[in-house]
Parts: sequence; C-alpha cells; structure tokens
Amino acid sequence: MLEQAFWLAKKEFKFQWLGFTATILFTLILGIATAFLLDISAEKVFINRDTPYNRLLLDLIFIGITPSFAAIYMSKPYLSFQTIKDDTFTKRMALLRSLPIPVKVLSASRTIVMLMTLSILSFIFYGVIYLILVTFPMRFLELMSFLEFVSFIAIWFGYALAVGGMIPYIEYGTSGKVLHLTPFISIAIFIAIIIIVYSYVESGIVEIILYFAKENGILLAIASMIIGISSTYLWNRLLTNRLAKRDYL
Amino acid sequence: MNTLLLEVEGLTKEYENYSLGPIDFKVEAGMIVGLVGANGSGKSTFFRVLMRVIQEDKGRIEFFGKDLHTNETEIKQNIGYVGELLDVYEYLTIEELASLIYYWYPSWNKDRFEYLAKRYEINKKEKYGKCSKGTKKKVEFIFSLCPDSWLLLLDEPTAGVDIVSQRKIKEDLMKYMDDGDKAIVLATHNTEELNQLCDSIYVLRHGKISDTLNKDDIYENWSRVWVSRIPETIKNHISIINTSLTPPQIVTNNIQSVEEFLKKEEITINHTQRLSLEEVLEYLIE
Repeated sequence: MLEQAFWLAKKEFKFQWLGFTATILFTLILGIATAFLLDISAEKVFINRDTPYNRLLLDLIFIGITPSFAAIYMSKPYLSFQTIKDDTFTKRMALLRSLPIPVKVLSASRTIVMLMTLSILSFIFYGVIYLILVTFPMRFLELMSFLEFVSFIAIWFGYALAVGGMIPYIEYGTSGKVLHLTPFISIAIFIAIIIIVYSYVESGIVEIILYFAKENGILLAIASMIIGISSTYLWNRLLTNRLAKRDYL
Repeated sequence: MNTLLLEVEGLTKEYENYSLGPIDFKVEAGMIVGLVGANGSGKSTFFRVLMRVIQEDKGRIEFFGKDLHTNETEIKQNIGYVGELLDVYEYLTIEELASLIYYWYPSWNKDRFEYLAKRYEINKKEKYGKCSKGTKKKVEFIFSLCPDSWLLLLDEPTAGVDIVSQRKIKEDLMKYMDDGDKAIVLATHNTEELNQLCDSIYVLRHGKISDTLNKDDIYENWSRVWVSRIPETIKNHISIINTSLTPPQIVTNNIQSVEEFLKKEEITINHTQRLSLEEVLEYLIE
C-alpha cells in the first residue's frame, strides 16, 4: 500500500512542480524576513533590549503561516478564487476515485504529499533563517545555543504538523468554498488568540516559545512532535473515512 | 465466470431537487445495453454511482457477482469507464495522463494504447486542456479500452466526435464484444448507435427507468395507425401511447392488441406504419 501511495505522491509533485517552485521561492523570502524579526525578538526576551519591531507580524508568521507549509500554497487552486466554483481538489479526487485505487492509498498519498511539503518547506524556511543568523552580525546565536534553536524549530514543526495535518482533509474532504474560507477564519482565530495572550502576559507568542525553548526546549519539542504526529494520524483516519463516503460531483 | 456482469437492485440517490431511482438494472455477458434519456435524466449520475464517485443512499450493486463495496478495487480493475472526469488535469499531456492511469490497471495493454492513439490520430504530447471536445472524448475512449476489462461503462463516448472516428469507435466496440463474455453499457443520444450496437435499451426518465426495450420488440410492436375515427374509449387502452385527431391517428406499442380492439370497435384502419427507434424514443423520453 505504501509503495502505491508514494508512487502517487511522487506523481503529484511532478505534476505540481511549477506551483511547488513558486511556493519554495515565497518561503525563502519569508524566511529572510523572519530571521531579522526573530533576532530582535530574542534580544528582547533574553537581554531586555527593547528595539521596536512588529511582534504581531512575527506571531502571525509562526502561528498562521508555518502550518500552511503543509500545502503547496502558491499553486493555482490556492491563488485563484475560481477554485470556489471549480472545486479543483474535489474534481482531482473524483478522477482518482473512479480508478482502481484503494481509498487508504489515496488518503495515505495525500498525507505523504502533506508531510513531504511541510518537511521541505520547513527545512527551507528554518534553513534560511539559520543562514541569515549566521551570515549577518546578529546576536541570536549568542543568546540561544544550536540545540535550543533546534528545539525551538521542533516545537513549531510539531505545531505546524498538528494544524497543517488537516490541510489534506480540507483540500479533498471539503469543497473549494471551505478551502478559501478556512484561511480567513483561521487568521481571525489566530489574531483573537494573539490579542488574548498579549492582554494577559504582555509578550508575543514567539517570544514565549523562545523563552521556553531555552528553559525546557527538548521536553517541549518532544511533546509538540507527539501532538503533531498524533494529529496527522487522526486527520489521515478522518480523511480515509471521508474519501470513502463523500460525493465528488 | 458469472454471466451476470452487473446487477443493480433498488439503487437510490436523493438530492435536494432531484432523485435517482429506485433503479433495478442487469447486464449479462455478451450484451450491449443502451441507456437513453433526456439531459438531466440521471445517466451520468447513474454511472458515477456505479464508479463510486457518487455514493448511493440505498441499494445493492454487484459487478461480476461481487459486491462493489467490499471488492471495489478488484472490480474497477475490470471496468473501462468514460465519464468526463479528466478535465481537471487539463495541464497534463495525454502521455502524462496515461502514465497516471495505467499504473492502477494490472492488465493495461501499452501496445494497445500506442495502436489506438495512432488509429485515432491522437498527439500524445498535446496538453489535454488544448484538445478539442471530440479529441478529449477519443482520449477517454482509448483509456477505457486499454485495460483488459470485462465491462465498459461509456457515458456518451461519441459526443462531439467526428464521423470517421465515430465509425472507428463503433468498430472497436464490436471488436471488444467478439469474445462474447464481455458487455457494454452505453449512454447515448445517438439513435444510430443504439440501432447498430445495442441489444436492449433502458429509458431513464426523471431519474427512474421508465421503459426497458428490446430492439426486436420495437420493430414488431410499435406502430403508427391512421384510423377512420378516434373514440373516447381508445384513450384508456393500455397499449395506446399517443393519439391525434388531424388526421385521426394513434401510436401504439402493441399493434396486435390494438388491431383487435379497433376491429371490435368497428374502426377502419386506413394505414399502418412501423415506427423507427428514433420515433419510439421521442415518445418515451418526452
């Protein structure tokens, strides 16, 4: 089964190479911008240096955008509102469902695509951040050890896995309308969470995670990864059930 | 192998403004079954339910004597299907589309694909989205023929296809049936295809099978009869399909019984004409 799922996932990447390349480029740029914000944030957390910066933007990048690394988000279905009408992902699945492919293979292939996309884009995003931090005269790596930085990445990767794990379900288990509505609803929820956190602890969420990554980084990273992996498994089960029971046209 | 290749019993699918079924439907080996009906009568929905692209609410579907739900993959490996689902991959070339599909059919015949692509003059390097409507249909038809299937489910395979290719499709369908242990379900609006290919015809009306016709029965029993007068009682006759007064004429699906009735009523028959399949379908589909 896994061999077939990997074959299908590989095909998907081959067919989506243009969108995937654009997604990689956008992620690179995002990584560059994030590195500078992250450095200022670490200075604020660890040496109380109060350089003004947009912590809301930094929080939104980590809370809102890193989970979207689970999708080829610069591909046509995401960029075009025509998807609301055309329901591209559902139609793709309609063709695949008409072929002799077991539902478990279909859902596994979607999860593999999600995992590979998330892994590659996260590697690029955090890799660029690290390169910038190393290349430019910044204090981040003086304030956090490499291991603490890896813990910080793992915490956010686990979070992205937990939230992004639902992306295959949204793509193939719902409609084009839901696909385009979800980011708006998510951003509203994220902003609400951020505002609540700001009003209680007067710190940004990334700042808090930076602090805890230094204090209890490995434990938190393990916990986050376990939650992320469990969520992905759960979303895969839900997707399998949904694919078996839904109407595609 | 079971001679009953497809058996559908009590199949229903409810939508807000439309319902399909209940449908009972059987296809035996060696048969070409035509499925006709007006646009929106449920032909495509029926096929899609059979391919599990749409889920039925109730009913039993068996292919080759096996339940569809528990043997879905194995069953689909033995079905060739044309159902207009490829458009979403319009950015792929025909070759790339074939590479996506063939992997899932253990019996996919690559030589046959090459042969058919040549026969239908398909440019495999062309993007599917750039193909004309007729070429898209031909591509789908070719894909349906490439696995060694037992059953073809063809949803209007010749719609928009040029005359020469239509003839080739008919030839290939007849060749497909050579073995005698295969079957085809053909949804079409083309009466010539029904005439030349189909053994029996199911008429789908508002989601239900309203009539099942045997081609020979049509030629023997369906007639238009010009009569001296049309009494009120004739309208209640079970075999009268239609009447009109200028000139007085009736359409029947059982000429013998109507002739007896007219004789008893002392009505003169001026002229009788057998109806063509096209005329019969017009009455049934309207």
